[in-house]
Amino acid sequence: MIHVLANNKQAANDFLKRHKLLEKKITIHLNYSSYFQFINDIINNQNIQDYACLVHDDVTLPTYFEYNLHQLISTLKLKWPNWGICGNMGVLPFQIGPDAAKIVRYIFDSHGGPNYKGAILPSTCIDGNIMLLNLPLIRKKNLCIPNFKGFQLYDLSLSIETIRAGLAVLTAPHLICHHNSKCSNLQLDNAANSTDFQKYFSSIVKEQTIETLNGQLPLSISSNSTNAKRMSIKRDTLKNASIGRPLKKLSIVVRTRGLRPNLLPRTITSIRYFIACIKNQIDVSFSVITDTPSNELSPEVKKHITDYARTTHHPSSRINLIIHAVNQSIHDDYIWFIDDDDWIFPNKAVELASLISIADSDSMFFIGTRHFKENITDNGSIYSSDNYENKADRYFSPKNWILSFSGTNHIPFCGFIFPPSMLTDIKWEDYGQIDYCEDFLIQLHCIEKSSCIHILDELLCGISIRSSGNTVTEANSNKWKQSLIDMGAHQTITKLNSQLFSVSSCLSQLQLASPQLTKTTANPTYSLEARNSLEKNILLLCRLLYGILKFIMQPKSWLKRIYSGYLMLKKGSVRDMIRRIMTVSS
Amino acid sequence: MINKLTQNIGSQNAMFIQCVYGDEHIDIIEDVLIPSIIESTDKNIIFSCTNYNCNSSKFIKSKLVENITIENYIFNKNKVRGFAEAHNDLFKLIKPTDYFLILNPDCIVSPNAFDLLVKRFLLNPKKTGIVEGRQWPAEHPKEFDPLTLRTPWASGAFCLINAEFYASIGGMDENYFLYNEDVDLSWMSWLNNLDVLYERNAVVTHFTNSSFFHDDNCINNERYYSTRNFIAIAKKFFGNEGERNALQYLKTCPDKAFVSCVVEDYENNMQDKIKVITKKIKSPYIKITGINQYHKLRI
Repeated sequence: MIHVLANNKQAANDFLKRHKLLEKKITIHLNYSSYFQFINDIINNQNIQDYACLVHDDVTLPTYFEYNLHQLISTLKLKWPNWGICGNMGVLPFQIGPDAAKIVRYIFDSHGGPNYKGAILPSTCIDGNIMLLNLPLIRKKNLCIPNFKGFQLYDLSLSIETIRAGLAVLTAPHLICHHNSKCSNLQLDNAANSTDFQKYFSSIVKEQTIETLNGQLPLSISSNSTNAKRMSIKRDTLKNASIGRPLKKLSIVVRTRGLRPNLLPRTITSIRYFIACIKNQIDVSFSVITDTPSNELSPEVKKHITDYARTTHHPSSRINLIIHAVNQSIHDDYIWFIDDDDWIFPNKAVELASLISIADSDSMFFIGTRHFKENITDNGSIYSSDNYENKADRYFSPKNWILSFSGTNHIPFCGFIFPPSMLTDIKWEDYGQIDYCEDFLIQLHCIEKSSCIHILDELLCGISIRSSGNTVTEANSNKWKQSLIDMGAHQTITKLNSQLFSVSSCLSQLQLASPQLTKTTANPTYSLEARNSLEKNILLLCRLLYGILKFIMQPKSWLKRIYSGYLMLKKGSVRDMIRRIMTVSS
Repeated sequence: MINKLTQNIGSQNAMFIQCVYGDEHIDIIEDVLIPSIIESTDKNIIFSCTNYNCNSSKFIKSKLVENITIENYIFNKNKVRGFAEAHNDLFKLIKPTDYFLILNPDCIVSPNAFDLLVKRFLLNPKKTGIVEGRQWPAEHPKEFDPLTLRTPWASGAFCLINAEFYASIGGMDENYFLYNEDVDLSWMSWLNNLDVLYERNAVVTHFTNSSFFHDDNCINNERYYSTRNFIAIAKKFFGNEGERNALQYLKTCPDKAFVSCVVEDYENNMQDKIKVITKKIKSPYIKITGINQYHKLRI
């Protein structure tokens, strides 16, 4: 079950000594000059049935690893039937969590510890320190990797070939370990820049660069005429992971009071378009709800909503419409509210549907939205050039969701999708008059109940902003203030999850100090670009002096760094060339 | 062998619309585009469509829906056709007279959009080559004369074309494969002394892949083919000097690897096929103002 490719007998013995409890489950492999060959041999060895867990010899496993492994395999069989390989650290095709991380780590190593917990997540590539292989499916798909030499990029190659074979690549917390890696970035760069690797990856994927756990791997460009034969890593990762998962149900709800009959048709048409794009991926229901009696609705509004479920609920209030919509959708997995003057952009519908497919039921999603300033004459048509102008305005990035705990709402109502069941325990009567902040309250409430926050940083909703007719542009802000304080009063008095409100201010301070301070790679080296120009120059000078000193002490190491610097110069980056030559590992 | 699946109900006073689609557009066409066309006009519509992938087994079902006759054509060509070739194939079969419309499969038609294009064309049918509609939410920022409505070129996503003119030039230029066929067609219209007009009141919703969206590290088809075809169109209309100028423009592009790939593709696959226009270009509307830019921008 556990296969360890050891550098030498000493390393093998050390590994066995560290894992006495697992000794009977471990097979040691020696005398390989290529990890690629090792993986192919495991796949082709019919004596190894079902699952193989490939482990580096410098890994330390937890005491109960065997139990964790069996639990993982059972979970994968049940919930991820199309899984191909699984690791403990991976690059995500979306983002998660408070800092919108693109990499999930369930590992302790020289770069730090885990950055998440509990979730099994699809990944575009995993790290090779531990890789669990689903051999029956892998063999069924005739999956194999090229027979390159060496011990670099085999994990990336296996991940891409797995996705290409139509199988899922996953990252799971059950494989957590300590990895005492001493991998050299230089060796990695040399492998990545080799002609064979470039040709191989460029022929398989459409992407110009591949995001890996060690940064971006640029690829040589091929003609788009060969695109049909190449895959999209991000899209196919999500698509493969969603195969065999239970069909999810999304309810899209438009609230209307019939006051914007010239804009409602646009909203409805965009939603129909969105549904047409994804109806084979998830089950979408669409309803328009209003608290305006039928005889008070204009003929245009009635004409446009007659095809959809329409509910009337009294007494009239924005909250009651939400409560009613949630009750109607209570058996759906997720609900998404769109205002009757806004619209959906369907361009990334497939990505959103795939994300919804792979998420757990108690997840929520933050998506991109943008204001569009529109000049429309009163009840004028948006299709008449005399009446209408529009201009793209502010973008609300879903990555900023955590800042909503600062007391200011950073995400419009159409910018998040959540399980309707999360609202059933809100005691609305405790909140006073929150007609204008009901979305803010819902957002905070759902965040506290979610086990996983998924972020898709793509534009999915357009928000119409006009000189009149929007609540956000109302001249009299008293209703806003009343709603905010009524909501805030109840939120701040209750003790539940009180620590969450300190996270936002903490992140804000960190961002003010160093705007780029976000972990986007496995190596949390803070980017030089984060510094001001004086700091940059001082840092470069220090590096230069240190490099000169090192050259005097160890002239041989100079040659390797010169070659690495030459490679950077070829790519056109003088700064990186200097950094490569002057950077010395301790 | 061409497979026509239903009989035409009659083309008198009917509007001919051509649409080229892929597998991914079928649900959108059936659930959204066709209903929007029905809501847009009372005229009889003959909606002729074809899958650009001749090898696909997926296609729109031919049928009669209210005032629309939907006719899907399958061509026995064993290839993936470009935009121009697929439209030319349809045109040769359908043979519209007077005018016809072309429409992208990812569009949604607004009320009266077709009627407004036709009305604009019929004001001066002998002098009009192409009438283009407006796209929402992202209207193209190119110049147009607010009095005459003349514009340098018309987008092929939604426009009306003079059928006699189209037939006389043998349709769109199939060498481009994707992108720039509409600019080429517009320039041919100007060379034949026919106007290209912009009817802003005729609107389609077209959610294009614009700067609003991340490109997922891929070179999208629009960027790739537009850049490659920029060299081709420059050569076709401005000769060797035009080609040289286009390559000079591309030297200013910071992405050298991308430009190198595109130029190599052009030299290997297109350069020898370009037929240079020998007619002297007098029209002020036939112009190159930047890399893949054929217009001034509106302020």
